[in-house]
Amino acid sequence: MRATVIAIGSRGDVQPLVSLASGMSAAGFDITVATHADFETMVREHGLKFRVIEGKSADFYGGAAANALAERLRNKKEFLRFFEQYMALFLDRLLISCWEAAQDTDAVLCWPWTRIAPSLAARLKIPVIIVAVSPVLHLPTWSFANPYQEPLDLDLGPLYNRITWLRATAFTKLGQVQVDKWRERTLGLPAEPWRAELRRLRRLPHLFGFSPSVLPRPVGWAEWIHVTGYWFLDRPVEWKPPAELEAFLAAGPAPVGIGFSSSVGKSRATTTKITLDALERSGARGILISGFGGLGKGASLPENVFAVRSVPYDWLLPRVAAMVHHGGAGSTSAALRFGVPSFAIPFAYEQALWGKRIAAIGAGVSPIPAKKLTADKLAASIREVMSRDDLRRGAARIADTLRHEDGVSVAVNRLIRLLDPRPLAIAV
Amino acid sequence: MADWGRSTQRMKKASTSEEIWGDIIAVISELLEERGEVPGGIGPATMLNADLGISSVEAIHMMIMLEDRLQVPLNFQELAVRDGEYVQDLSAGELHRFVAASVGS
Repeated sequence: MRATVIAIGSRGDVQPLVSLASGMSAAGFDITVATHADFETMVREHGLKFRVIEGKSADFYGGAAANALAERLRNKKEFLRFFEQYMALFLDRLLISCWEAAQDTDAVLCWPWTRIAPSLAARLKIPVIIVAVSPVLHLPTWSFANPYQEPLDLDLGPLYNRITWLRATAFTKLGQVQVDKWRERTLGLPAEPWRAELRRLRRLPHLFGFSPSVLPRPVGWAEWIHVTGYWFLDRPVEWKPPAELEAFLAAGPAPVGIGFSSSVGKSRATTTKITLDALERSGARGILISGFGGLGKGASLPENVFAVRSVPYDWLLPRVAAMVHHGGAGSTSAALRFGVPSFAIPFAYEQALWGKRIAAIGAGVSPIPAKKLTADKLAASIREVMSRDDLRRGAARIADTLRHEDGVSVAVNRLIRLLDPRPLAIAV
Repeated sequence: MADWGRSTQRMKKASTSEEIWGDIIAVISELLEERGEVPGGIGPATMLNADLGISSVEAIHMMIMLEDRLQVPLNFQELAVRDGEYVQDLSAGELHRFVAASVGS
């Protein structure tokens, strides 16, 4: 059976879907991964077929527009204006490339944010399944407040939680003009009221690649919404570190790793300065992972700090004493997988949720919201996360739990049941 | 609580045409320095793409940076899209006129 995975966004969005695709391929599906050109090598390294999706992830996530997108997700009017006045032509092209990617296949798996799934299902009359690594705005829950728009520190109970999600649904209306145009001109379907599309989106099967041991299945999600465990992607080839990085690691005690991926806030220079000051005050050695956001880029670094543009987390994490990240689903899960105590500096999106969960399961300290970040606070948390034995034990405990989960297999088995049209054989 | 529906754009005192030009030069310089290039010699006739190599996505970043500096909403689509395509190129002077008109100075 052919299936196409449409993966859009940054590395944290795409990488787990490549892992899921690999698992499906191993189970006998004929898989194509459609994603941005940036990730072609990753897809092909795993022996999967590649189709290109409009837009270069690094070009977008490395600049001011990505930060604007993240910040405006807290303001409905500005968020919708961003899509209307900045991203309209890009969205036109993105939607058309998603349609092209969905040709010649028997099923589509796609990420939840671009509004393609209900329309592709209606037009192609094939199964369309939402695959994601974090809770999404269109699925309300009683379990926790919507982290995309609400403040980090309010805990007012289930009813409040539920209301925060219901209030957020308006944000799912992004690009309405483009979606209407795409349906009419490309798909040959009439425009559809947004609420009707939203209802159909909620009824599609969803698979979530996070661990229920880290975030229990949200209360209120329908029975066709499945939480499978993480979709970790293992590297097919051994990574060769730069000699300078190996020398730095060998020259002293295990450092703290600090990487915010594409999230560095409005001023990379300010975030870098706070980070370097905090490392100095904490007395820790540090490795900065610059990522798309460029943390540490252009700064002169003291002897106790090493900066690297990118490094596979599964190589780095066993070599660090602690990890500080932005609370992205991928970074969070990587630190937990390797039993490394960590904490988050959430900048936007759902990062605060993962930051809180790290502390809640005893694998790190509480998150520091990026807007409240100071060198003193960061230094104090670095010292704490590197010195507390209970956090080391907590992180090791959750790593052990995750070792016994196999999110990809759970997801693939679920997909086999969802997609295989053959009736179950009945023994006679 | 989140700021539901209300614009966060705070209108600061309207910038003069010269101030806007200064902001445009500053933002373009930041973009070029990001690439490791040394900015300089940018005038109204300088073409953003042909002379400076600014791509459409970089132009989006540039306009967002100008919004942040000027605290005025700018409509990138209106400036850069004609007949469903990105315009081939824009001069720094055209950008200046567009931003000045948006600011109302």
